[in-house]
Amino acid sequence: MNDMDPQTDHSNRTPLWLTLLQFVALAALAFAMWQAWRQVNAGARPAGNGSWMALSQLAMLLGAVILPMLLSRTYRAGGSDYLVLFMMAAAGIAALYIAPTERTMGVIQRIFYMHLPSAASGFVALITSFIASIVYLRRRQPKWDWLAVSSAEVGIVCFTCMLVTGPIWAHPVWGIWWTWDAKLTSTFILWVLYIAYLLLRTLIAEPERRAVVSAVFGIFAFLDVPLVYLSNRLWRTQHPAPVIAGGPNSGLDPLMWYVFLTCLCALLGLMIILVRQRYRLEATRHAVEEMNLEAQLREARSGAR
Amino acid sequence: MTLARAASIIVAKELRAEFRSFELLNTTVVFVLIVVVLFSFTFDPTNPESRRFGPGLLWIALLFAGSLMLQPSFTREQANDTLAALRLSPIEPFAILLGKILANLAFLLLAEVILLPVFAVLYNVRILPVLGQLSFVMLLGTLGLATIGTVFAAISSQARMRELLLPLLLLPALTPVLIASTEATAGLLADSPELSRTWVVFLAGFDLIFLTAAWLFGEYLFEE
Repeated sequence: MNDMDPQTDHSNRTPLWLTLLQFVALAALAFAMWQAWRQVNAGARPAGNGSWMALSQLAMLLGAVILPMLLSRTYRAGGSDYLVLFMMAAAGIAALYIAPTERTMGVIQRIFYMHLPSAASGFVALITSFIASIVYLRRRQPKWDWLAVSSAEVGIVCFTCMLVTGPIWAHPVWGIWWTWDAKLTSTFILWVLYIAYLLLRTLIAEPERRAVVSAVFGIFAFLDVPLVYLSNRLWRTQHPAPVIAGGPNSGLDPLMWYVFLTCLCALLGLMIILVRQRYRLEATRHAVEEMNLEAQLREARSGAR
Repeated sequence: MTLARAASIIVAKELRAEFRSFELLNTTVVFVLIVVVLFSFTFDPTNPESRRFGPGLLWIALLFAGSLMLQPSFTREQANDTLAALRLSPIEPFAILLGKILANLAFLLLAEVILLPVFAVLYNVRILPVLGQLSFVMLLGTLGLATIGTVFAAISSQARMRELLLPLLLLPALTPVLIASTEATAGLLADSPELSRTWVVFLAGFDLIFLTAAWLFGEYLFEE
């Protein structure tokens, strides 16, 4: 009938081989988690340089996120994607082989090169989402809503990385997986609030209503974060005080600094290309919705005639 | 029409609607009672050590009650499409929200007036010597609960599965209120009662921040 018929349009469908590849990536992720678990059970002070731990981090990131994207035929990888891929590889190698082993904590400390950068990129993503929500309410251009949801979703992924790597580190160092400390509790509440944000979005069908309502919720959720942190801070705290720029005796070994900055850049870059990709997906969804509406309208008109 | 006058008219309307049936108040009071009694089975409430959990338990029960009772303030309007009529009236959209916040605050405070003596008797705590300060803490905490709760009720009333959604949105966001009110109440019910300035200032700040946010962004929830 027409070229926009959803029956004949396959461009939005994920090819089977890509799905399979994603399953392989998931398997790599499971393997990585298993390796991390083994390291922890072994007291996290294995002989050698703890390469399994960092290698599995690398596998986790490369396997689960970037490679399927680069290999996909529906995604045209640009220069920045390869740049981020290169930075991720560099970050993995730096965290694994170049950074010196910490004296008291040992190899497990290397997880810090993943933990703090993912927290930082998560915060950047959520701040982006907060600002995009405000701008959406003022300007009412759908693109700001797309940015808000994309960065909120990627922010949740970053925070999940942080919340997973944190306990893996804490168990051998603190002797417990989790503690109800200010930083931990507030990031956990933040994570739950943004999951609620995504849930709220799935429960409102009308696009404009969804955008407005979830923008208001996003703003309230973000405003809540400093208060959650402050209330916990006034109450009890255990998380290590800031090692970077924390006080006279704090500070990283210069080499550790370089590795940390490499990892930070790599994960920020990864966050940005993920947000961009998610934004494109949201824009495509919007276009598909509009086409469907148009097709329904046309059908209704021809039926009425 | 000024904001205060418009809001007070909305408050009066809400109170009149509620006092015709007492639906919300009855269910809330009974619900909190059940929760408070059920909690007593999970530990020995006569033990002075476990009596320290009392304030936290009271606030948890109130938070749960809030997450259940705040939803009707908007779903009631939806049943007869009366929210559209409110929107058409020549008042600021924030007046609707403010009126509903104040009305919900009144309902919650009324419920607390009934529940606090019962709680004091059941958990054997002395509230009379610190009644004034305790009321102040309860007022600040409940205002925070009513503010966020009403805004989130307006949000969830526009979604599917709204009854399930509201507690999910509300409870994590109320963590600061829970911590601050519980600590302030615990300080007042301790052997040597003391009103913690820190927590009172914190609660007041919380209320102020979210009332301002509701004033800045609440109107968007009433668009058509």
